[in-house]
Amino acid sequence: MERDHIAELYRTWGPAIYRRCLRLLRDPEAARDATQEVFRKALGSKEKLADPDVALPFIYRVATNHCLNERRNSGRHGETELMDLDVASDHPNYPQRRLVQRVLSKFDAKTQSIAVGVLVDGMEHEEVADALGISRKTVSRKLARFLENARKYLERSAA
Amino acid sequence: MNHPSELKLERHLLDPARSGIAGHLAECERCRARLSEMEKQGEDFRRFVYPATLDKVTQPRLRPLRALWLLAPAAGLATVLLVARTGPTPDYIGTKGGPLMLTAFVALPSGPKPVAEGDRVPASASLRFKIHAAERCNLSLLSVDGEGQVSKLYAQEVRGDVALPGGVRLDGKRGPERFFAACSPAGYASVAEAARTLQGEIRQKSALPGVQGPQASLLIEKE
Repeated sequence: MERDHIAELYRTWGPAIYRRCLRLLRDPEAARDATQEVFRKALGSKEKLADPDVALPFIYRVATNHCLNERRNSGRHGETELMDLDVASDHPNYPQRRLVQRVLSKFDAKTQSIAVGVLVDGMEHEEVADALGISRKTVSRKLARFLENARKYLERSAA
Repeated sequence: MNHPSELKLERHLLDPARSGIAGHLAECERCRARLSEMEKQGEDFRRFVYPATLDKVTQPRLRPLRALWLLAPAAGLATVLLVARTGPTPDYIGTKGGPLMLTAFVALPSGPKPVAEGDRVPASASLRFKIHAAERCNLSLLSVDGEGQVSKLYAQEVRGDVALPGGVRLDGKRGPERFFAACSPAGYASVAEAARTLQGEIRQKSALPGVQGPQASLLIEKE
């Protein structure tokens, strides 16, 4: 692929990738590094970047997976907390969103992506399913399990 | 009130006429504020991130090689399988770094070959890595080339003998390149920061300054 074409794709999709990384990593420097990595990964499926309807969910998925992985890697060693995800207090799911902040790191990667998509980003189940390339049923099932186990975890912590 | 998701706001930025949320935005101050913030972040990308990172995203660099290994010609494929299955011979020492050892293998037509400090390797060769960590290690593995460019290869937790998944292909440019492995509790970002301070002086400097924890490094000369 020619440099100019890659540069054009980067100019088009870079802002969305950067915003996604900034939202999840909460640090401009880390978001800048992650943006490069995510874009390079996305270039591996460059045909998807040609169609805006496909590209946006695709880069959302790649960026979300990459950034949550970055957070897991750094959080495991106490470098950053997983509890600083931005949640809005006027959202109807506010109590569940707070739950995400507190226990997200206890769950597997796919469940983390689903919980963030629904409870932090405010996406419909179907929208999350499309973006993550999984079935709506899987979204519902994993989210229900997340909420149930998260509450149990907090109850155990409080006891 | 149900607010549009982040993805819907992204769609709106991309094509306001097709987003279907214009009505909501007209009445929702919170979403307008978020949209405004997103526009500013996009502008930050265009002004600062894009020019600073464009060269890196458009130039060939070390990248995961799983697929290319599979596409290698028959002889090369045999080489890959040999590397993947057997790794180094038991008497191979590798590059020592105290409690951390880094071993690299280059896939040559004649077979996989462990790489020693300062070895000459083809500039577009494929490499695989093996790590021995005496204790649990928050591993950061990166490379620095003669121009000081830092490339992230792996950041993962390891313990014992670990063959790192996939492999990397060199960027095709002649010159030195040094691989640094570090078990740093501070994580990849601090290791990369230390690597950037080397500014390409990698023939002389075999350790990253200021990085806590065991380190190992290996210099190659790409030709």
